[in-house]
Amino acid sequence: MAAYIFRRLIVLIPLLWAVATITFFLMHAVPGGPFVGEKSMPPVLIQHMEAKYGLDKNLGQQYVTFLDNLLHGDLGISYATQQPVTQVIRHGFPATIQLGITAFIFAIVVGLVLGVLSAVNQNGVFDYISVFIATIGAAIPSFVLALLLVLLLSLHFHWFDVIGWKFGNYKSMTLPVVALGLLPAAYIARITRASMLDVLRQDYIRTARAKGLRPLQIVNRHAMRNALVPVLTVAGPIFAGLITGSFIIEYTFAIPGIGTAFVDAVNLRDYGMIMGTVLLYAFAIAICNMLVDVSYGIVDPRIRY
Amino acid sequence: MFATRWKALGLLASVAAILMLAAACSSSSNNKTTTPGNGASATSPAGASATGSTSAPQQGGSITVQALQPQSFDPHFSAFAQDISIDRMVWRGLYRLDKNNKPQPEMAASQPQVSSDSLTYTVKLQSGLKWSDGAPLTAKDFVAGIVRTCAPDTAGQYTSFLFNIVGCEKYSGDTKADAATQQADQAALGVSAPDDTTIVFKLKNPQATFQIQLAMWFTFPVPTQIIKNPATDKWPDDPTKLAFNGPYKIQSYTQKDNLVLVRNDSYHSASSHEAYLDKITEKYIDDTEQADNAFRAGQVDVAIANLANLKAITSDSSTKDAYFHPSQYSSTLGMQFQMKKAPLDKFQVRLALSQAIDRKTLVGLVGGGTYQPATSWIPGALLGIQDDPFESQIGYNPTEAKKNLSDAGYPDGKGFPTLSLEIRNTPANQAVAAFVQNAYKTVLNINITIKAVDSKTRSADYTSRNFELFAPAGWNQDYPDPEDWVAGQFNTGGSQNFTDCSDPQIDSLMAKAAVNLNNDERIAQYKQINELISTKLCGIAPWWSQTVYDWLVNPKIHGMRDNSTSQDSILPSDWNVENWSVSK
Amino acid sequence: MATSQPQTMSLEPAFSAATAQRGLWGQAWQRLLRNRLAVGAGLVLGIIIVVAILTSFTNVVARYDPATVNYQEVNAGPSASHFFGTDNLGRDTWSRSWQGMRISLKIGFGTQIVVLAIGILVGAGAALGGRFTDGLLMRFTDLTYAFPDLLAIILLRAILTGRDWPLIGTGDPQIPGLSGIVIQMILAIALVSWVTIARLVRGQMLSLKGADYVLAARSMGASTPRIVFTHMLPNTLGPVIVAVTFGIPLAIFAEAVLGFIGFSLQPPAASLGTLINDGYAYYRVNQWMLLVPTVGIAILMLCFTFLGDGLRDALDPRTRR
Repeated sequence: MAAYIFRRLIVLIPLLWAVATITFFLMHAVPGGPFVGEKSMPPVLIQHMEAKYGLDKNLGQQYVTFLDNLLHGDLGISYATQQPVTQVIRHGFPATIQLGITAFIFAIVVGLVLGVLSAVNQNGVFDYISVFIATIGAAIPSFVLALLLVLLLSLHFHWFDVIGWKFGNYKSMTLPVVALGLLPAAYIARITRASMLDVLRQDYIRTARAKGLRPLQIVNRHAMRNALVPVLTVAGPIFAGLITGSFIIEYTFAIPGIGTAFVDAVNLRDYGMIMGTVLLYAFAIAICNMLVDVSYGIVDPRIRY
Repeated sequence: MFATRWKALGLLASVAAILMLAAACSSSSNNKTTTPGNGASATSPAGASATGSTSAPQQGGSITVQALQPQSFDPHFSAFAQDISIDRMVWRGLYRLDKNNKPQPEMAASQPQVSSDSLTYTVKLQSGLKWSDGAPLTAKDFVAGIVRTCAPDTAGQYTSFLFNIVGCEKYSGDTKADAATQQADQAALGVSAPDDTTIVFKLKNPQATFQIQLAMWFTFPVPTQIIKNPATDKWPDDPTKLAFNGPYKIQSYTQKDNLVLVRNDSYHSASSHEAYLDKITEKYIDDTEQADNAFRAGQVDVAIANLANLKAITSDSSTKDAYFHPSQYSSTLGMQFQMKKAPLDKFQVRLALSQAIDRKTLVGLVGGGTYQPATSWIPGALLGIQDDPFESQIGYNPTEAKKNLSDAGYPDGKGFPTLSLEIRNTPANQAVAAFVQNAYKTVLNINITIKAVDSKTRSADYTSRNFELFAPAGWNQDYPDPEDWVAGQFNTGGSQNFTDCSDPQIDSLMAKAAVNLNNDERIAQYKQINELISTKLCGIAPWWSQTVYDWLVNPKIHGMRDNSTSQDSILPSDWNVENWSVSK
Repeated sequence: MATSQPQTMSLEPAFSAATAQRGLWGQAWQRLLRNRLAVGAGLVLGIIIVVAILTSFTNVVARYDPATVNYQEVNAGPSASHFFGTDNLGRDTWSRSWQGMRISLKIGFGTQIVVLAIGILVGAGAALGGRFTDGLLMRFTDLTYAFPDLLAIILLRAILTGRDWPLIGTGDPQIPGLSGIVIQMILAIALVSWVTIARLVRGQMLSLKGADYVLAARSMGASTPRIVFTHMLPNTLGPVIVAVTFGIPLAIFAEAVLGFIGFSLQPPAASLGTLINDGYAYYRVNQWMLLVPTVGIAILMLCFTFLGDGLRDALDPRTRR
């Protein structure tokens, strides 16, 4: 297992290099540059700024300089804020990761609970409720859902804040987490339900029931573990998706994360920030996938690394 | 099994119903607008607005305002409105523009002494001025400010505004020069401090607006106790590490989240007073509708109004008293023509394109009806004329438009090329483009294609002259003088002239007006220039005048609305922030 | 899933494999028909697609051109003349919503066609092409998988937008019905979504490579293409069909997200995503502008999901329901 983890980590290096290279050439292919402003500067000044940041050299030379800096852990300066990219990311990442993790836990817990209840209580009250929640989550885009939640629960009932993010304060955290996590929750609920139904049909469950075990014991002791495997499969991509896809929720709820940083960076042609956010996300996704594969090995004793 | 199709559809329908109900309910329910914003200390409901306006402003209190994220805290580099807004709250220059746009002594003790040839300005600084960290504020700090703006490494977007100071243009071009040359050029700059309270400026040409420049952010002083070498030292990223001489100072800044300003006790203005509020918190919200929702919920006290929903704002009890539409316009927008692209070089074609646009209907569709139809490029207030003086010449007139197009050689639009209209990719701009496309089709029977791109691509196309029609486009005022509206934009070969407007009459008038110190004469000259630009549609067909924003302002806040002018950046009267107060 | 089929197949000689397959698909079809939810979803989808196509051909159904503005009837509510009211420029919401449906469906289906093509090529190539090709293609797949999806799409769109290139450029559509920007969206979304299909196809084909009936066919002299297309591909199609059916609503959702941040279609054309974006700004004065495309997307999502569930249950012989 340790060797496997080590191998996966080693592979990260060429992977990130490839991602960085592709991103480098892609972002320079976007027309326009960072110093053409709304109030157009005299061309002479634009040339000065480009010279200041080395953008007047040809692309190949810029790439070499970029790689060299990258190996020293230097991602350059964000042109818009004049701050080092690593600093901007460091300030913004906490909020995004907090949001992502909370939404992830929400999605898993809600999804599992709904899925299990649905499978165990077919056509009962719980089934109805879970269908309702799953329907909303799966069918309505998150930005519309966010608006709906704000209109109803913030402005009408005054239960939650309209904007802002204070970690640990339920008033500010609830709406963004629900808006972001409801879609994955619905997805997990469907998978859990299907998988649970599958497991409940198995012979060993019938045996357990014949033995006289109560339903709760059956679910906990026998069914859950096996039903969880498909959920694990999607957990990785879901978490990655939550981290990378949080920008709409961050934008709507004015959450100071780096989710919006990428879209802003592309719009401003802030090359340093584009590269920084892409590398960060790629790294996060790769780690997630690795963790999922590792947990496979833990949960399913048949898998050996 | 999952619920049946009908169950799911029923759930969907109920969701849809909830959405509509929520929108309807929340707009009519009586939300507590009187709830104080985050950390506000005023306790009485806003019903007290009737009594608040005439009594003396109360000292103390704090407010939370919505703003847009700043990019930098460097006034010598700043170009974004939100940066300039903050710059002016925490720093001040030698002079300050009052409500009538006249320069008043701010850090200076008195009006400047101007030499007889008008090329030397001597400014006396107040004595005993201090920075917020206790260090003395002296003349050399102001010299450092000029040095910094002109320095090649700074590469600020407003540096060219100081090119009339001796040596500034050359010095700013020294990016690739060696250290010795840079030193020499810096020393040769036309700004010096013979003693601690005197600053001397040397200009290349007479300039009636020079004193106005000394109120602008790019001339603000540099805290030389922190930044020893203004030309090369890096401006700190963390704004709390700076020192301030304005009405407020920065207490804390959380990136993308908020900025906290507290009253600066060392602020001492020759014409203004200490700030009233204890604290101002800027909360950064990008989505305007959400900002308005935050206002409705009492999380912010001031928010930019979402004009798309203006009807709801002005009828809804939670926002209608708070809605503030400033009366002074700071922008003129319209359609720009690339004059070198046929057939836009023909005057009659441009005239037809201008006369086909019904400005009154157009402003009803965008900006919620808050924009003002305009046929004058420079706002009337700056020239002493009305806003729509050329309506009969270039305003909406479909019959004349058709005739002009026909006279230009395209009867009923036949043979007219399909021009491209480049817009920025937002819903509001798309609405404008749809209007224009429709107007040209119905009135002139010509087709245009719409090219919607993002801001940078659009700017790149603009500066490389890769466009035909460019709209809505125009100018946001930097300083309240007609000079700002034409300098560099309408003279042949001007550095900001991307429409390639070229008229020898305009050129000669501009050259004269730039150095004319007689105010009446120069205003008359700018009036003439304005008439030429507008009636000849030289590079632009003006459509409307607008303010930078409209706002929702909690009625308990005073001093904001009454001090609003065309100088507002992001908040009403943010250039004059020491006048804000809250009623108790 | 496919592991159960070789047992039946190896009892038949290769030449009657075709008849046995039809029997298999026939059984799946029967199972699908018994799932009322999936059938209902399929019917609703069918109706939507038919009406969407009709609105592009005849004005009887659309009733107005989606781009025609009417400044006298701005933000009107539903009425007999405008079923869903009008938008902020007086355009008919009914016809614009159908245009939105059309374009979103085009993007949804178009993406999956491209995804299928790439996925099958890469997956089959990796499974059948020997260890080196497998390794190369799999590294390429890993790279695509590691690249953050939405970021890649935004970058691609930013690069391709506003150019005069063939097929995807700003000129008249070269493929009728598919304007340049729609093709751009399809390509951008497809280029990041093909990984699942490729892995699926590769996995299936790897396990089928050693199956008895394939060996039997080979020993009877069948050529490789024939084996791939007649024997292996049909057996991989099951999970692939299911993945594609779930992929369509995901692509439509992705386009909606892009529309919301302004990286989708240009005026006056509109997809469901851009309609939602427009409606979002005006929802306090005009709820229908936001409501109709939202419900539209919701219906599409639900239908494709139920249909996909049904297909998966039908194509999996282990399901006994």
